[in-house]
Amino acid sequence: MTEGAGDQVFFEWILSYGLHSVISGTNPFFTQVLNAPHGVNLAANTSMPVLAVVFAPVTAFAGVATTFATVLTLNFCCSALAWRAFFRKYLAKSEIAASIGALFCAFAPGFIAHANGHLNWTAGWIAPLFIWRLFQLGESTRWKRNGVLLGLVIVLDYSVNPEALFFTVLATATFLSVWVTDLKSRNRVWQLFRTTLAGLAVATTVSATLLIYPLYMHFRGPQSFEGTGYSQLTYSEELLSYVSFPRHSLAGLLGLSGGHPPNASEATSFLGVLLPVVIFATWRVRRAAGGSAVPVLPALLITGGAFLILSCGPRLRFDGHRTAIAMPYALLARLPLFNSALPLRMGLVVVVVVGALAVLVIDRAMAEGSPVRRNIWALALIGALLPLVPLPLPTTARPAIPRFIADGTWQQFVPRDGTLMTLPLTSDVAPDGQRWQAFTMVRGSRVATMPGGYFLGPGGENGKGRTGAVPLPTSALFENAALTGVVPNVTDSDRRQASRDLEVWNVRLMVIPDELGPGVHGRLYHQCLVDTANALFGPGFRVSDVLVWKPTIH
Amino acid sequence: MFFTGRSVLPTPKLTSEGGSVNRARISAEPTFRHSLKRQLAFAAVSLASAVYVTFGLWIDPGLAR
Repeated sequence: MTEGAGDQVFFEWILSYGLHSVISGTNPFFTQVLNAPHGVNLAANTSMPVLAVVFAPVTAFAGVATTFATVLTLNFCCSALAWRAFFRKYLAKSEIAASIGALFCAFAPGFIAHANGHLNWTAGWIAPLFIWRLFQLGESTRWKRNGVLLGLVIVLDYSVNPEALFFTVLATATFLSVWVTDLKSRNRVWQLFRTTLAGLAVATTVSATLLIYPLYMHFRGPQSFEGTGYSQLTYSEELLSYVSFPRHSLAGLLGLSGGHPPNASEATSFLGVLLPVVIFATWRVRRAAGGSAVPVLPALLITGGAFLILSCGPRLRFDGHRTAIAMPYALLARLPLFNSALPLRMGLVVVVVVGALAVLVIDRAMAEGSPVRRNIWALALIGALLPLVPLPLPTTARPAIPRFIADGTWQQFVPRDGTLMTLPLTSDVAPDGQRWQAFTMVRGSRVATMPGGYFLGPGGENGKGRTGAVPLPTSALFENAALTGVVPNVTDSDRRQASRDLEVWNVRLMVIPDELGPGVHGRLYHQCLVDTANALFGPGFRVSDVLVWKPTIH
Repeated sequence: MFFTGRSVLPTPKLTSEGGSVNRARISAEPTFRHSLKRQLAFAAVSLASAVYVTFGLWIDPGLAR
């Protein structure tokens, strides 16, 4: 993927580790094959253990890149199917209305943006599945059975994307608290409350029992951390983004895109003119229906409005700049779970609410509007939706896994208790090494243990989490050389420091492939890396299609 | 509907008293086969759209490696 190469490698690694843990029986929530010698807490990362295990046969037989493409494709498809079934059941008589809304919710610009590497955030089916099972609690007297099913759905959703489950729970609670106040019958409210509460107790018991170990590992396991490795001030949505057009869309193709997302994967809202069109249409529907005839509208509007404000984060951002204006999220930012969430992703709730409102509007227009009015609404919605039609995700070819790794030659140089180090150290900036390791896991042979990696772990500012391993001077030296193309002036002090760092990592071999993959933040300078390694460790030697250096400390 | 306050789609079922079938309602409802066809058509559209979006990944030369 051109714009999410690091994230793609991370999720491919996750899927490979799923297969590895099935084959070798290793802990699916903690590993020491990456970030040696400290390891990685997978429960605190987006490790998707259920999907990784379910798709392990595909990974084993077709390779992890195929699994990645399969899961991504099925996520989109299943999201559309789930939303259509949900809308048909709860919101719309019209199949056309439900289908249009479902396609929008599955392929909305925010989800397309996340598809640039964020495999977990394309699982849009998480929300309709959870809400459907939750509503079933209030619709039936079979609270035990429904409670167990909801508990299992919570476990599945949590395993795929806990952050999305958290947002779904918050949004559903907001929606229901408004919707219930509109119910006329107290008996109906009491009946709903009673069966829902009983079912929720069962669901909580089931999910807590199944999730107790992953939750323990997440919050108290080795290499766990507080908060997030990303700044909530940066990952906040701009208000203008809600009415901007996305880059990878028909509008973007015509040069109409705008907004300032933190990166291509996090362009969450970007609804263009759809937002004002839907709000205006909703107002018309409400007025035509006399307000109370559509009790779901206030609940949807308040939920959407609340999440739109929350998605703006602790400080208002405007035109790419952070202002001093405090936003309501600032009051929540230190609370548990909120301190780990990225506010702008709450914009995805707004996206879904807009989809639901569009379903209602289309449904009403088809049922009650005159032919002329129907055509006007159809044209307005087509005009609003057409610019948002996504373009295929941009991709570029990646270099092949070096033969040195692929044919297992590396095993002759690295003893079982040692690590193999890629130069630069594998990280979110240069994720090639992690991809090689994923390959060795899928191959089912010995796994190349490595220092570094792209993951979330401890060691960030103020005791928070951070992205990747805590850098040691030598890893920083190589990363700077690779990114800037400037060979550092290596001194004896650097050589002594490198010796100490290699000892910490237990490195037995350092490798630079003939062909470096594209860096996440731009080109990586191959010759500069070779010159730096030669200056630091003496001349390396060629084996197969890589240059290697053996440290002298062992 | 559940949330919109409108009447739900007619559901064919035997009434508890008398055991007669509400034929007027059934005739107004799309048949199961018809509904299945539409669902399959939507599933095909969804899958085609998903493949279109992820097309680059399926033709990536790195796929087979």
